[in-house]
Amino acid sequence: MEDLLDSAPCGVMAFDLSGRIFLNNATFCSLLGYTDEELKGCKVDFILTMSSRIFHQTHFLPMIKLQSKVEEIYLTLRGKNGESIPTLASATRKMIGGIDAVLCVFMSVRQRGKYEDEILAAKRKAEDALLNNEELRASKLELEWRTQELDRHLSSLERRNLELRQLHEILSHDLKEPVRRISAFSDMISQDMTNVLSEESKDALSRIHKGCLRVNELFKVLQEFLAADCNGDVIEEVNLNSVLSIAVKRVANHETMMPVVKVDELPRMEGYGSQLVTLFEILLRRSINQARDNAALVQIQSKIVQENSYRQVAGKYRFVNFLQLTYRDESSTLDGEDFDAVFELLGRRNHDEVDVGLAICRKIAQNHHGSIKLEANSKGNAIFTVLLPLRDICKISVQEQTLS
Amino acid sequence: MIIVSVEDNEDDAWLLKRAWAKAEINEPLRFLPSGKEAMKFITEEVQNTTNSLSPEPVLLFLDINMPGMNGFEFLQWLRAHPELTRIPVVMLTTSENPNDIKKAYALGANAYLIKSNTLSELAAMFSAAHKFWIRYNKFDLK
Repeated sequence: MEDLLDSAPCGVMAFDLSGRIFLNNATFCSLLGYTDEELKGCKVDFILTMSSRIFHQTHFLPMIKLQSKVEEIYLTLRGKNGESIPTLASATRKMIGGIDAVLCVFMSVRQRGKYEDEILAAKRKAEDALLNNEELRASKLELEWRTQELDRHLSSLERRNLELRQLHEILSHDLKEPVRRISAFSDMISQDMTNVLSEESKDALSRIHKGCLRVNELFKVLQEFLAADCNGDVIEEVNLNSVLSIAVKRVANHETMMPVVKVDELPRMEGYGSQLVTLFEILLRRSINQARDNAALVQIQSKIVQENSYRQVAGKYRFVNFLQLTYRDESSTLDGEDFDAVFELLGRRNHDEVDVGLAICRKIAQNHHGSIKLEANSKGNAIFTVLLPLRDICKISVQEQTLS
Repeated sequence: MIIVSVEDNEDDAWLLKRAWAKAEINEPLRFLPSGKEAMKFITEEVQNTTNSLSPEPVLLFLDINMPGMNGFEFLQWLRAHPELTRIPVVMLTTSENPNDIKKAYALGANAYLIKSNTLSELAAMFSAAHKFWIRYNKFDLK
């Protein structure tokens, strides 16, 4: 029987109520790495880790005294080499050789500990995955909502675009035609009846004719503005040096004095080539008009800057490369112009002039998701700063996602 | 010789008639009110040409914006028939849209004129067109 106890597959130990160990089996000694002699007479606390000691004092012993037994208590023993040995302990109070003792059995649960650690790790991983999944689902829901919102905006824009195209067609023909006929009829009356009409009547007809010309001019200006759109245009790689060269040639064809343009080497970018030609053309014409009888002096510089690609959504930031074009008109000075109002549609300097050029420039810049502004330097020269994204913003986001 | 103006608007037709008269052109200007009417007229004229008593039209002024069959659609129909390609077509319209100008030439128009706001300008335009197409130009006769 003693042999069986000694070689039992669990540690057996007994201690008296003062906590002194007086009985060990070989398995217990082997578990801790001590000899029987080394353990006998030691306090139980000696073979417990700090946390197990506290547990022993606060739970284990009180339960033994109260219930005379405890079962499946997790205790960590401290081996001779300092190793922590997880065990599952059961104990009972009984008289052993006349001593009121606590007889304990210890089962090593190293493997179980490993399994429990693995289970805990797996549980944490599952919880993380669930949390990520929750975050993913929330992101997905938000994406779905944003997509719906985008779809609503696109539908609204499409509808407005259609209305603008219809308005363009009406301007091009249905509104223009009656005005043209009024002008033609009044001219006809004026010519055919010149001997019969009074001076007052002739004057009235002349005013009618001028009014019609003015309305026609307005129609033309509005048509130009509406035509400065992306319908049919394709984003392409554009060499801005070539764009500027074409614009200069166009201006030189119609104007008497060639502008003098000092320009740094301009980069390539993606954009609407024909619209960018128009933008430069309008600025050059403006410079020529301002210079009057002298040659317009223009300096164009460029550099790459970082700007927020989000234009409308507040609180969102993604800084991307923009091309900053600085167009300095050195041959004229600004005379009290409202730097923002000049870009408004039908901004005019006096009642006889109708000017839509800079409004078209702004539209072209906006078509490229860019901007244009006007400032004056210390000499009063006009400086137009045009910001154009260097690459298509949507392409950037797709490529960034692909790379990540 | 028959000179035809395809014009749907009565007011414009009246003005063009007055301008033609002011230009003192001998040949009458015949008005057709729609692309479909023009189609019907030219088809009949071509058929009549076989008896050599009625000549087919030699000059055609064509408006663009017309209800039903517009000027472009008529021009496309005209140029699709090999026997009708010899008829010179001069677009006569208010549209200064570069796309319309491009499209007209692409479909086979021979010239593109913008209707003026004044009668005298219209008359001068008709006079010049008549001089070029009728007096100086040589037609491909059957």
